[in-house]
Amino acid sequence: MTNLILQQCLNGLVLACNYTLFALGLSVIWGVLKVLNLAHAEMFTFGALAAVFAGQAGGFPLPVVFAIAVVTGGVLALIVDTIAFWPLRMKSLSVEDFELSSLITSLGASTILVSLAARWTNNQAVSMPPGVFTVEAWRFGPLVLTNVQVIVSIAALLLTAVTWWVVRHSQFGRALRGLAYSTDMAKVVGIRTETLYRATLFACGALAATAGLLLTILMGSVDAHSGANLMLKAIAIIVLAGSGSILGLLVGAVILGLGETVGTLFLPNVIQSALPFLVILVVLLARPSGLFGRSEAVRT
Amino acid sequence: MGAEWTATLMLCGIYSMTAIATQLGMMCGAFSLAPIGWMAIGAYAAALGATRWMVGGFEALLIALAVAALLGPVVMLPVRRISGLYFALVSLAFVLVIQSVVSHLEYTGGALGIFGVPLDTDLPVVVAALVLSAAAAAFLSSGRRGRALRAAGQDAIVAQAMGVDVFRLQLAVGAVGAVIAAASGFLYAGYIGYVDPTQFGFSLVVQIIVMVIVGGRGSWVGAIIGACFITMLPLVLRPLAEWRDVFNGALLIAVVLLLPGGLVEMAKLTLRRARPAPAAALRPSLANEESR
Repeated sequence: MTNLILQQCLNGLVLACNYTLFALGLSVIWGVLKVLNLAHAEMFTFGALAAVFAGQAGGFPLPVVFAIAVVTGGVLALIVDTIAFWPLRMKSLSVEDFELSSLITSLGASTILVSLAARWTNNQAVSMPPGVFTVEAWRFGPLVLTNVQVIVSIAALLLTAVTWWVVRHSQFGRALRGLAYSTDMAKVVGIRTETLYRATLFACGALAATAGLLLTILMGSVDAHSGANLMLKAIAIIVLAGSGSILGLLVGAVILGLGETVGTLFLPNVIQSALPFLVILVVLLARPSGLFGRSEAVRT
Repeated sequence: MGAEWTATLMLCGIYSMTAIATQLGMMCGAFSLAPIGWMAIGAYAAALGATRWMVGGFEALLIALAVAALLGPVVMLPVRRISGLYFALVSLAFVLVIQSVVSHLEYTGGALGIFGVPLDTDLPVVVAALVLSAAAAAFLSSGRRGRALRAAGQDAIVAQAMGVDVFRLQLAVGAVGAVIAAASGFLYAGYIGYVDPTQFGFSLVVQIIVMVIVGGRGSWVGAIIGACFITMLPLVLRPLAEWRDVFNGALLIAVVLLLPGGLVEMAKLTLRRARPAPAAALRPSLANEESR
């Protein structure tokens, strides 16, 4: 039993790394663009699908497959922005109006993309062909760890760390945080806001696509609704974290990841499946600014 | 009138009620998706009443409505602490918790749902329920009460400064919306003959949002127009049924970007244009507004 719990802890942590990667992009977009981008899930799905189909076409080494996923996610994010968010930014709405309108347009974009993905895959789960990546299992005493799990976790943690460094310490990140604080002030100090918005969206789309690729390798397959299923978990993680805290994202992701794996051993089925939503409910009611969030007013 | 049209009209009426319930929340500044949850509860009450509780349809309806009236305001309570998108998320969580509870409980038939709900819903009943719901919405959004409601929706702080008890208003809307939505769910179960968890999930949430936005935010008339438009469209344009989701999504984006007031706004503008010219000349400010 102890071994089982330990093994599930391990699996949960690997999952958590991926959740963090996915939630990261969503959180940055929310912070900077003030958009709860429901279409973020589709960057994940399309990135993964593009990678799988590239893998099935055969002949591409893993780095090329990876690049295809990243570019697909990034470009798709830009397309969604051009159709759904950019026209709204040009309208200079009030903050509340913009948040609601962009939520709805992103919902529209997401609906379209999920449906297109379902057609693309004929509503079937597709899986990475075996040639692209060979799975090896390593044993550590009673515990089993596959090379996929190790690579996925390390890649996810590394990308999270890089994102944290970029947002906190680079010139780009400083501009980004300025933009998140006030678009007008950012313009006044000479930041090219539109370029920065686009760059952010491309990067976040690429992050989501990477998460999609990694999780597909980890889980073995992907379908049109994989991203959407992850979306609610990601929202729960962001809510749990409070905005602007990458440490919070990690903690939130670990809680959900463990809840999903270790939870299967202890929690009844009803609670198990409702866990993300219960987390959203409880956290928002008890502590609206999240576990690690600062006060509601400042959101960077 | 063919059977197909009768069925479609019934569905229009049922969705109109849920859309009205959602609309009311948006009008008073509490963007709540909870009505979809209440619709599920109403539908399951109909199914459980017929198969487990062994009570008549009317008693089951009364139970559902009573629960909705009592607990509707409770689900609305969080709006006191959180607002905007965060509140929408809480209400979405409520919907999904209900969905996942009914899909995992033995008692509610699990993922398979419950079959054998008596097909008691017919067009006159739906029309009567819709009229009642519309009357309730009209009552809430007329006169001083209606102005207070819209003020709360535009800017809660200003409304409070003007002496509107925003929170009490929102609780009242929570109760009325829950009752209307539960009734629509009850009718839906009686229309379709069975209930299962997939009927009341995220896709229905999307569907109802599309109806409210396309019809027009800010008036219950818009909710009815939107619900009828979205429900009937696949019937009128056959090829569209296959591409329904793509079309819904595109419609959603197009309306938000090009026609923020929805179909109601478009109808109003058309009516104004149709007016004789002197009236427009008397009000130049209006003409300006139109040209924008």
